[in-house]
Amino acid sequence: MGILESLESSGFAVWVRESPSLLAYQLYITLHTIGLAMVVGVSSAFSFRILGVASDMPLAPMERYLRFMWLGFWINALSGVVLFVLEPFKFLTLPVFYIKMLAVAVAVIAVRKIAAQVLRGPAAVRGFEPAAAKTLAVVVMASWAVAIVAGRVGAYSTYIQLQATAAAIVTGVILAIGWAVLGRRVGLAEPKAGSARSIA
Amino acid sequence: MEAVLRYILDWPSLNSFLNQNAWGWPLLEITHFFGMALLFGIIMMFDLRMLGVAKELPLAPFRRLLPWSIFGFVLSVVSGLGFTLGLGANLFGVNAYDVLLTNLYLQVKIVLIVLAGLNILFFYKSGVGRQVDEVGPGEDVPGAAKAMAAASLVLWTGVMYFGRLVPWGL
Repeated sequence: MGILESLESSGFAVWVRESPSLLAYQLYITLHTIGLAMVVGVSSAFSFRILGVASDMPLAPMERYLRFMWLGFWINALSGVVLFVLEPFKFLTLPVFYIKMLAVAVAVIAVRKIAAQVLRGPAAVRGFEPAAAKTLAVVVMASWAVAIVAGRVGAYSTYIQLQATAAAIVTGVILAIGWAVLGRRVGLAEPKAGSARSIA
Repeated sequence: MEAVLRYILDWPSLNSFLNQNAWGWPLLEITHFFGMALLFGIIMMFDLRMLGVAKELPLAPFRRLLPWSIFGFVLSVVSGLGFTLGLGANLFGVNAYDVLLTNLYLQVKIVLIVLAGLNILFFYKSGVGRQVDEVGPGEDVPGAAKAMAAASLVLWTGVMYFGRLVPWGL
């Protein structure tokens, strides 16, 4: 028997899957949700700041929030492993599961670059290429969006997965247009490119 | 009274929209999670600053991030109303009235949202919000603001916890 089979049929996995206890499945799914809000929320805030929102706020001290972002990340990595071993073969046959893992990997790499190049280290002190930082910020937000969409639609049939993904992309495009057109007026969107204060 | 509420909470058009579009329900969920991450992540950072994390950050410019938290709240409320009022599409024929009356997790979640809202209202109406605006780099916020920040963290975490449990309360 392979390791995944033995994990899937282990006493722990059976208990987590089947017990009505709040410490079984419900604990891991709620942790996965709270961790998601921490990691995606904090890295989105970094991205907004880099894209020009709250541009009077100094960037370097935001480094202190990294530990809370990584706390959220590790809560989700660990709860994610538990949720995975409950039904490993279901996840391994879902294309969106691989898309989600890939999106998470891209987001982690990009946010680590933001941490090293924008928030701390000699590069942050010296200054850096604002355009490169903005690209990283967009990559972080886009990959978390893909990860959330892929994670959520995994609970539905393949047909619905495709349809929901298309619906999410259309909604995202509409929101992005809304941001570009209206956001500027209400002060949510970034100031004009090249603004001296947009990164400091 | 009950008949009126049942009538108000019954949205046949939403039910049939969700019945006819397989992507409707997952799209509501995706929107709810996007909104939740924005709402909680940014509020958490603001609360943590008031509790002494990243003290070098001045608080007045920090407030410019908060509209994005409000945007997240709007996304969550709109999609959340979609779940509640359109539940009949997912669980055939269920009226939101019965769900609100019987789902303990949803009830606790709504109470916690109201408390979190009152906490924010109190923060601004009591003048604490104005004091916090003046707090510069390296300075502490008043004790009352710290208490409200701690309450906010606990309340919003509770909202997410009980919110995720709602399906088990149906």
